[in-house]
Parts: sequence; structure tokens; C-alpha cells
Amino acid sequence: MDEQLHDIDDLFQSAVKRHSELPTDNVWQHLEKNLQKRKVTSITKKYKKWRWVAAALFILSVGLAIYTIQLTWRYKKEVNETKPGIINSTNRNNPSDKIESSRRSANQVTSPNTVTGETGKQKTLIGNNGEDKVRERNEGAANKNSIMPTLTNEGKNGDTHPYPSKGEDVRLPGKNNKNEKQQIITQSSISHGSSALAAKNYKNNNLTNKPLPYNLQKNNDAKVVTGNSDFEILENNMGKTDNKTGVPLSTISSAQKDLIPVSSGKDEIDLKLSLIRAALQLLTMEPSVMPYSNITYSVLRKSSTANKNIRLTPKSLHPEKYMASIFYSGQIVSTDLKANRPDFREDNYLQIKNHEKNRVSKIIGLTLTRKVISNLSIVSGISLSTYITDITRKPLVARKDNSGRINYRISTSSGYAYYSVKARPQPALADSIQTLSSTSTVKYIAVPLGLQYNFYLGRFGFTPSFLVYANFKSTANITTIQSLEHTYTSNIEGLKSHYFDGNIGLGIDYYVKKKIVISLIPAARFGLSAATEKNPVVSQRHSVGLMAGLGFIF
Amino acid sequence: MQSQTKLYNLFMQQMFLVCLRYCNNREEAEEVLQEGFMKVFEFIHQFNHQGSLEGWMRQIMIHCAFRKYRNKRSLHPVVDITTMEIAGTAQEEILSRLGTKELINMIQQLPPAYRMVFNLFVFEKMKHREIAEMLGIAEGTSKSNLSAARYLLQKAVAFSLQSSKINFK
Repeated sequence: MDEQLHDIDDLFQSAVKRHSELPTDNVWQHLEKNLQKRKVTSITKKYKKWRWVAAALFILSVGLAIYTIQLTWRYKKEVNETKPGIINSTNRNNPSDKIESSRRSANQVTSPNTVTGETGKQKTLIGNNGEDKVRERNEGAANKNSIMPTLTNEGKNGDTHPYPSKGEDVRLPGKNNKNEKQQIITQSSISHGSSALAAKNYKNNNLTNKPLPYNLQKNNDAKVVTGNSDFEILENNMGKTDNKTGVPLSTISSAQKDLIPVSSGKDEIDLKLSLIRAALQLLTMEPSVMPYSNITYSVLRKSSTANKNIRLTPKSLHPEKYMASIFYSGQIVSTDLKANRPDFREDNYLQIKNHEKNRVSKIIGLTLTRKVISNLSIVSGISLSTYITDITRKPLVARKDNSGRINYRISTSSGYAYYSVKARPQPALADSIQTLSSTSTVKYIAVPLGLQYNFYLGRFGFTPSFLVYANFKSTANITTIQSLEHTYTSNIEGLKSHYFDGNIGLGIDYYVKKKIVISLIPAARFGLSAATEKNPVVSQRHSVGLMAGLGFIF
Repeated sequence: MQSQTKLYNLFMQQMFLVCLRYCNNREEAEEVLQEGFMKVFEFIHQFNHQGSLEGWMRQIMIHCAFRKYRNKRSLHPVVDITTMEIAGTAQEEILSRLGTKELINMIQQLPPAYRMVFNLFVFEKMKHREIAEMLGIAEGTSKSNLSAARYLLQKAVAFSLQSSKINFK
């Protein structure tokens, strides 16, 4: 008998060795499809992690663009307001330079006896009487580019002249032009920061319709008083006000009269111009360093507060009524499974749990926030949540469905479904097939309702919130891949039409503009009720994630 | 994709034969072949060149077939054969009379457990201890399964020689 048995082994070994049989072409076709799909999947997986970075960068860039546009508009508006009588310096595109320039200038004039001239020479005025001397210290060629704007003095009767256009040469013959000593200055090298700001500040103090003192004339032609006769006017107007308007004819107090140096010729002109400039600079001085008259002090105080108007007051940014936000969120989901009614051995909740892996869920939506009391807001809105679960290879066993037909049944944490596999004959009860992989996709439309507490730090707002989401099932489907075919069904049983979950979040809002807010909200969601019913397992979803949004206040 | 096509064309015949031996029918063998080749393409980078590539691929095919068998192990065989004995016929004569395809069909018709043990013992040259470990059965069970498989095949051959069909299930 043993011999016969061993003969059987040899017989079959010989048969197998001699046998040759080829599989059908379908095998390679299916293989090719699966390989292409896997390739696509791997590319998708590769770039999946970059989606978050792209979304964050997009929101940041949009916010930055809005901020830049807003800044540009504000600056243009500012330029338009200060255009009359102003020739901008080479740094005309930077408003902050103007402020900085004026502050520097103001600091340099904190001592009433020291005036920094624009000609590159610092002049120190010593004493208040006729013993005044002017000491000039040559600051070197490096300061030549900060020459005070001047104009051609063509007459002795105090005629004023408009500033030259850009690039035009300016002649400064002064009083002693008979010596044919002319100082040629190109406008590109002129620094006007202080005078520009002075004009602007003057306007900011609601004096727009009133005559501007000296060179801050209302009309578009900037005028500077030069020459002896002009200087006399300056002297005469010191400390006086216009009878009709009450506006000071000079922002320089009478005390400054004592500062006028006794000089002549080119130096005298330079000194006068320096004095005028110093007077204009005083307009931007801080009140604390202001040693002059009450009128000037008042003007200065207003002008110093006018500078602050450039910044938006943070308090005015915060929402008073409604805020609508569009947001996108990615959530890391975990499903809590409990055994419910395992009718069959494949319904074991551990088996279901071990075969499933949740993908990062996507939530996109719109929230509406309404302030109810001082720091408390009510939040509602609408959102669309997508939950995708990957199910690894698992056996499907043929069971009777609700209509009594025998089909392959798949049980998941998101319900169960029956399949009829076309490539196979009608299965008998308890027949099984192996799936390569399956995917369960469930979409919910959610309506949140909850409270949000608000507090602010400058441009930032912090909004801890608690919301309850009512989730209504929108679509649900399970796709299964067997070796020979893909099967899709949207007829899912055991899934509730709605369920509730809670959301705790801490929003961080950045007010880009008065009505635009960028929000980042780390949040945790937890299931308040089960998402399934009459299912082999009871499942509750919990998730943590980051929500990024763009809000509009109206 | 080109290299995968070449690899498939090079080994599909041998691998399909392995799958045919371990499976119930041709369709099932094709499924196993497909799954096996997917595994081969997926894990080809893990092949360490210590053995032959064919041997490594064969192991993957056997593993895929075993997974399929494991899903069906609850199905118990119902053997219905008449007692017959092979007359002292020469091997060559049997092969010429029955053909290799029919002999492979006989292996396919064996109950899954018997078929697994018979294949692993006769073709893969595994010992009963190794088979028992792999299938999660006792060593004695492996021996008895092999014996039963041989016995059934013997009867089948004898029956076929008498121009009769046999159904084990």
C-alpha cells in the first residue's frame, strides 16, 4: 500500500511537471488597473500632507494681500490730503519715514537754542540778545543730501514762489546775488519730511479751510517766505492770530524772535530758512518738550494726536454686530465602537475595528456670530463634513438580506451593506469572498449652535467657544474592491439619519482690517449620540483638528 | 510598468501552475495569481537575492492560496467514493491515458485541508511539523490528511482509468 501511495506522489509530480497552462488575459488587465490605481493613490498620499500647508499659506497670503492693499489705500489717501504745498522727499513712498523724520527733527530742536539746519551745517545760537553768534560746524559732504527746499528769490518785496517741479534746478541767489554766487540744488536731493507732515497735521486739526501759516498755503502752490521782507512778515506775525479765523498767523511764538540771528548774505538766508523749518518742525513736537506759547502748544498737541490717527484704534476693529466666517477644517477622527447586536461571527466589533482606519476628515462651512452681551456671542451656521474610512482586506460572507436574497454582506462602523458580485455565481449561504480593500464615505450637513466668549488683545481676539452640532446624513456609500471587480453601493443600513456632537474650541482671531478677520481655531469634537442604530456595532465619532477661517464683520 | 509586464510574462506560467494546484478551480487560481503578483510588485524591493526569485514568488503564491484556504477551512469535506484500487498500471500509461490536466483536476477536487497538506508535502517538500505549524493544526492531523489525500487520489485515478468521474464533495 505504501509503495502504491508513493507511486501516487511521483505520478502527480510528473503530471505537474509536464503540464503547462496559461492564465487568461483578464488577469494582466486587472493587474494593470490595480497598479495604475495604486500609483495614483500613492501620488495622492504624497501630496496629501501638503494640503494643510497650502491652505494655511493661502489664507495667510490673502490676509497679507488685503492688509497691503489697505495700507496702500490709506497712504494714497494721506498723500492726496497732504498734496497741496508739499514736495515729497526721495522717501515719498514710505509714510513711516515721514513720521520718523519729523520725530527726529523735533528731537533735534528740543533745546530752544539749537536749530539743526538743512544745509548740512548745524548752527548753534548762543544767547538771546545782540551778542548772538552763529557757529557753524561743517557736518561733511555726507549731509549734503538733506538740504532744505528753497526757491528762487526774485524780488525783495516778499513775493513767494511755487516749489520747482521734480528734477528742476533751484537757484538760491539770496540777497547777495550780485556776487553771482548761486547755490544749485536739485529737487531729488531735497528732504521735506517735516514740512510735509506739518502741513498734514495742520489739516488734521480741522484747519483745512483756514489759511495755513507761511509756507503751508491752502492752494496747490507751496510757498516759502524768503528774503528780508518775508522775514520781517514772519517777525511781525509772531504770536499773532488772524482776526477773522482765530488761526495763528505764525506757529512760532514771540519767544522765538530772540532766536533770530544777526547775520547777512547767504548765511542769513540759510539761517532764516532754517528757522522757518524749525518752526514747522515744532508743529510735530511732543507737548512735553514744548517751551513755547499756549497757542503753539495747542496746535502741537493736536498735531501730535493727529499722528496717532494713522494707526487704527484696536477697539474699533472688534465686531459690534455680526461676523460671518468661511472656514475649512481638517480633523483627525477616532471612532469609539461598542458591541451592539453581532448577528454573525464577522460582526465582532474588534474585527470591525481592526480592519478600519479613519482618514483625516474635511469640514467646510460658514459660521455666523452675533454679539449678545458685552463679551458673549451666539454662534450658528452650516457646514459639510466628510468622513472617509478605509477598510483593509477582509472576508465578506454571504447572508440573507432584508428581501430574503443571499448576497455578500459587509459590516462597518458606519453601517452594513449587501453586495451581489457579478463575476461570481449566486452565492450560497455562508459562502465567502475576500475583498482587497473597501472604502466607506459618509457626508453630513451640520448645523452648529453655541456660545462664544470674546476678549481682545490689540489686533488679536481670543474666542473660546462651545458648540453643539446637529449632523444630518447627506450621502453614504461603500466601495469594495475584489480581485475581479469593484462594487459600489449607497444603500447603507444601520446608519442614523442624524446625530449630535459637541465642539470645544479656542479661536485666535487676527483683525487684518476693520471688517476682515483671519481665524485659527484648534478644536475638539466629541460625539454626544451614536451615529448608528440597529448596526452590529454602536459607533461614536470623536475628533481633534484645526480650523482656519476668514471672517467678515458687517 | 514595462518591467512589471516582463516579470509577469516570465513567471506567469509557473506561478499559475502553483495556483492551480492549491485552488479549487481555474477562476480561483486566477484570483490567487492576481493577488500574488500584486504582492510581488508591491514587495519586490524586499527580495534579498539570497534565494531564487522564482522560489520567492512561489512562496508568495502559496501564502496567498493559504489565505484563501483559511477562509474556507470551516467547510468540511464530504467524501463520497466507492472503494476501488488501481490495478498495477504503469505511471506512463496512466499519464498517457488520463492527461496531466485531468490529474491536476483531481488535486483541485480534493477537500481544501487535504489539498493543502498534499501540496505542501509532495510539491514543497515540507515536513509534517512545518505543515502543522503553518496550517495551525496538529502534526498527527497533517499526517492523517496526507494519507487521506493520497488515498482519495488513488481512488480517483483508478476510477478515471475506468472512464468514470468522481466527485468528492
